[in-house]
Amino acid sequence: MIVGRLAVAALAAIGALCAAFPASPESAAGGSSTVAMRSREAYSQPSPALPADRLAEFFLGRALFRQVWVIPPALDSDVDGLGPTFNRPSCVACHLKNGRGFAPEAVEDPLRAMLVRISVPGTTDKGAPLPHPAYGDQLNDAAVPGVPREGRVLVNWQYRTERFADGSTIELRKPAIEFAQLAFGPVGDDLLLSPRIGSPVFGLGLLEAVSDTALHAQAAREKPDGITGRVNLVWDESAQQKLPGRFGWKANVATLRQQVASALLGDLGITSPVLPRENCPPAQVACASAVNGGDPELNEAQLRSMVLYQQALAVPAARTADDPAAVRGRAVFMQAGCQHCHLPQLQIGTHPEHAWLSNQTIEPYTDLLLHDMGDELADGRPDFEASGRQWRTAPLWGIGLTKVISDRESYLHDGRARTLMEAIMWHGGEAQAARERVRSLSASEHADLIRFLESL
Amino acid sequence: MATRLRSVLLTLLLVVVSPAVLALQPIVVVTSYPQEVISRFEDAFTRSHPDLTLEVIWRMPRDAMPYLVSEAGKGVDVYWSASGRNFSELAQRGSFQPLPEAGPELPAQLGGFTLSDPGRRYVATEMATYGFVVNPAYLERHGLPVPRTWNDLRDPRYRGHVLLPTPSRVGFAPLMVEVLLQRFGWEEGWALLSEIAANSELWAPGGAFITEEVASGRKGVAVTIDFFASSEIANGAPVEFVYPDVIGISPGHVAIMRDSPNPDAARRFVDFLLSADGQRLLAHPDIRKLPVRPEVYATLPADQFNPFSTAARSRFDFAQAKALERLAVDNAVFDAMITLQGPRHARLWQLLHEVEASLRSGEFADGEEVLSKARALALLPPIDEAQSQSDEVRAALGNRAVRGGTETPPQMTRLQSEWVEAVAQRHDSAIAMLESLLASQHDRSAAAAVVR
Repeated sequence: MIVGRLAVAALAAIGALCAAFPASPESAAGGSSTVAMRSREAYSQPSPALPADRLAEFFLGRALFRQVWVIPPALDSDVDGLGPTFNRPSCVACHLKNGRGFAPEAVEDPLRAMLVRISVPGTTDKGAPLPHPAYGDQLNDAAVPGVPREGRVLVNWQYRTERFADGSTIELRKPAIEFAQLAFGPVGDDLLLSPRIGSPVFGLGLLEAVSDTALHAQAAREKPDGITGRVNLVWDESAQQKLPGRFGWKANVATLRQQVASALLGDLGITSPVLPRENCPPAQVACASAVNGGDPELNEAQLRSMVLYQQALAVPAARTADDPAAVRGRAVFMQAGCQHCHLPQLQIGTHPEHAWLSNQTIEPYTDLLLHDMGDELADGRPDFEASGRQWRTAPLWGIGLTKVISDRESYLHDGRARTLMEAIMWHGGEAQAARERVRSLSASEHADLIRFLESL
Repeated sequence: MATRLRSVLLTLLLVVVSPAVLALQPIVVVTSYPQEVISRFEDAFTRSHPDLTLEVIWRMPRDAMPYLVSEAGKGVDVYWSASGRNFSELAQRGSFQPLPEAGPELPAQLGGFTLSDPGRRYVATEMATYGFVVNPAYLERHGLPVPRTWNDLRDPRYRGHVLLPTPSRVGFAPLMVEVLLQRFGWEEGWALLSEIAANSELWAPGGAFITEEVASGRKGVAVTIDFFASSEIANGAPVEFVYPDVIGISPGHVAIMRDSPNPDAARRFVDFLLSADGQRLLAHPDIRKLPVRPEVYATLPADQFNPFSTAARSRFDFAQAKALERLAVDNAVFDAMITLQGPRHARLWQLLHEVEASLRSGEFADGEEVLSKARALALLPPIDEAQSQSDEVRAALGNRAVRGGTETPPQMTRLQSEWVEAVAQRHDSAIAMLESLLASQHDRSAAAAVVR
């Protein structure tokens, strides 16, 4: 019996899911690292430019990215090391199918693909947010048996309604975060916190190849609507110096090596050659005395493979050209002024390791710069050069596949936006003028704008 | 700035939370299911049971076993995994508490396969079957028909187009081998596997997934467990899955630990897994396991394979205990007959097929006898069925069925080395017979040509 033929036919019929289509040159969102695919695996393909002799390493990185990590000690010693405290036991828990995370719906729901960064006012000697003395720099709501979890995070939604110029309305929700069952005493009145959902992890090697010069030039370029744009300068452990930030919701990470190592330690409790010490603040005695899974728990070859995996994940091609509504929506996007920060094209430079990623034009719809996004989005938690009101322009490539791949939509740093239009309506600060232009559009222009974003 | 920060914080903290939300009861679950499965069940379960929370401890079956019987294992409420051997062994050790009797909505048997423990110490929560993932475009390009039966894959036309998992390296494969051995018989089963292997490249994890190798068009057919393929298809891959004449049933189980600190909550988790809602989650594109509750199929898409409606077709009585006891023996036989023979195995089959083709075209009638002798030598496993079940052989090979992906191969046992040597000698004599037959036929044709 064959079930595949029926399934494939059904998928082809609904278009958005069909396996592959010929890529037109103008839809080469990720340059030579583009795949002409719109299926649920569209964020999970190796770059066609990845040299064949690196595929084995890519697959090793993929296996580790999908690995549910094991509590030490264990027979599977190459994948043990989870905890002592952690958020989730695997990378894919928060980056399901290499896509984005999401916020909990109900207050009693645990955080499944989101975490809360915490700190106290001040900075470390490297300029990073000052970790909370008892809880560190993010609340770990899970722990291995015998070690107390740091606490629980409760997310309550507060709702309000926004009105468009044509009288139609949209409901927006904003999270109110509370901690409960704190294991090491109250967090104190001066706590700074910032909830963050997992970000998509494809196309990142291309963003790593954007030159520092290009970032500074874009920051210096004059823009309308009072838009500025700032390069974050952040400490990189491997380089032992400050470098321009590119990754993370506040561009607070400069390299993928640092990004992977930080996430492994902060989110999973896995030490690596970059960050070799377990994440146990002094008050957490049981954490410090728990068995570890090696010193470090992730070896250099494993770390490199995980970095390569994220460098080499291809970008799905956009399908704007195939859809007249999307083409009209692109014009709306431009007229509203979105493109001043969500830059449609970037010329990238030489990647520090991989010639196959270097020197091409990509379409990430980001400038990688920090912008004041207004009071409503502000988290009040500075991160290196980023103020409590600033966020990095989020890349929009591939965003139209969110629902297909993640089964749900969840946008902005804390996953508050349940639709792309909600996300737009949260834009403030430097993006306020663009948002107001969107507010004044007709229903059909709104529909076209969303169709354009969905075609990315 | 400070005032603004404070006001942001105040907004963030103005929340009233009911005390019930804070008093969650934990259920500690040991599992080896992938994150995609865990996440979906975690999410749906805690949504419908807001007073409970799951704490998942992930361990591969070989690692779960020592953990569950250790002191640390006393904190575990539920074992939920696809590892028939662990469940059977833990049940024998008395590590589980009995579960309530189930009604007809949860059959304990299917098509001659045992789904749940007759003593109700562990029950099936999902199933998988075996078959072929095929790339129709690839097969068409190579002028090959879609294989429908296991015997179809013996056809030399498939040479080089098939992927076959190495049972000692691939978790799902040992039970599949045992299904074939029981269905076709020990000797005929090994003959089948040996001949399919002659057409195949052996596959082990570490690189591309077995289904990706077919979807990408590197191979046309792969022998696999169904959910890898069904999930790949549901995610948009251009492949199809063929349920052949023998599909087997490989159930995943759940059990409540005897020392469960929280047995009432554990029972609610088990009830959820077996409920219609829990069973429907199995159809998610990223999971694609088969529900064990027959009525659930009516609510799934029409193209969903239903083993309850096809089980009768390939029914045979599968001896589960016998299977679980000799998986390591099967793996050792497979490696001795196939994996470790390398090019010798390939050369032998190439010659056999060459002679068979010549015979079919009637070139040398006197080859029949040589061919049948060579075939017998090629297909004979190193031990007979009685030996495969002997305590001596089992003790010599240990009971570890599958090695971890990055584990170095264990030292070959003396017994296994003897098997490898014996098979090599048989293969070598068969090769010699066939080569000399072909050479004499060549001489004869040459002489005939001269005479003409």
